[in-house]
Amino acid sequence: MLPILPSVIIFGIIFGITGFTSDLPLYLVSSMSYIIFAGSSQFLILILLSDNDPIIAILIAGILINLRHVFYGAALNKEFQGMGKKKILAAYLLTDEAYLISTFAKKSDKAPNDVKIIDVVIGGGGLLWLSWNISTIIGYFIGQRTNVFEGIPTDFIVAGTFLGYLILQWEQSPRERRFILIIILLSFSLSFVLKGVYLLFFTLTLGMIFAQIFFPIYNIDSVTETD
Amino acid sequence: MYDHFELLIMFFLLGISTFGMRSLFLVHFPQKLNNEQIRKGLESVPSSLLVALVIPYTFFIETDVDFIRLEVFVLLVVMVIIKFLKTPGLSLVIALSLLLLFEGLLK
Repeated sequence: MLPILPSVIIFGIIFGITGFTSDLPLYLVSSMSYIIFAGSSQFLILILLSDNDPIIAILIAGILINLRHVFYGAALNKEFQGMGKKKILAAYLLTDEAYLISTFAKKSDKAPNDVKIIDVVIGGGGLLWLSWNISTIIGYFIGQRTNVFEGIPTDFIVAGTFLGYLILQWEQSPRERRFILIIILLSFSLSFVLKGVYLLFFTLTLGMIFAQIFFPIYNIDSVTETD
Repeated sequence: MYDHFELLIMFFLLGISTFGMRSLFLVHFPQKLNNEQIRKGLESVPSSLLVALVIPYTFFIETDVDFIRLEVFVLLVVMVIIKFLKTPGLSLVIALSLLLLFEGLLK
């Protein structure tokens, strides 16, 4: 939990700053953090808003980005059986980081035998929710008070945010490097005919198809835990 | 400029759909699918990788692949830093700080 929290706080602050520089009021920026509560799509929304893309297209792109959350629920279904209404709260808090924490908890030999994974998700997810929302507001005020970030383009901030994860993924997962290169070529090729959210939309869709070709769900060998 | 009310509605719709996606298989999981296979598939399908890759690349596409920019130089420096620090969060802070510094020096 502790190694994840500083990154969440930093990205939350950056999100708040980016929200301010996108000329959105505080209530809208903070509402994203507690209504949507999914960092990738929140950053994506900001970049698409800065491009003046249609709202419906932004919504569809956000849904597409968040589709992976379906698999989180599937992977935890066994552990959540018989847990009643706690599942509802756990579902709301089930982000990438919360899922990661649950994975570590299941594999950890230091965890007590009777630890319930749903409680790990709710506890860890709750802490992440609090950190994310508070840091969003702090970031907004930093952007507002200091004014130094006004000249920084939104796309740079978003690109910088995800570049780190991309490089780590390249370093830690050699088997995914071919997939990365294919996506780059795909994006570049599509950019001659598509722009903005449509480029993103089609690259994501085709990329998911390629992901299934390279990493089919029903033909999986042992995998390395990279996150 | 967007209407703020429309934006709020969009956030609610996305939030509800995200919650729906997260809870879909938590509430009911088809017996035909093996849970362990899905778990392994999740660990292998690079969905987050897809997100992490597309957005930085869109950064270049949206500017018609203009590499001669201060932002690109800063990102290159940050890539080297990330390689050593292995912390995306701190690296982003360094990237933003460097960009502000260079912009200040060039003014």
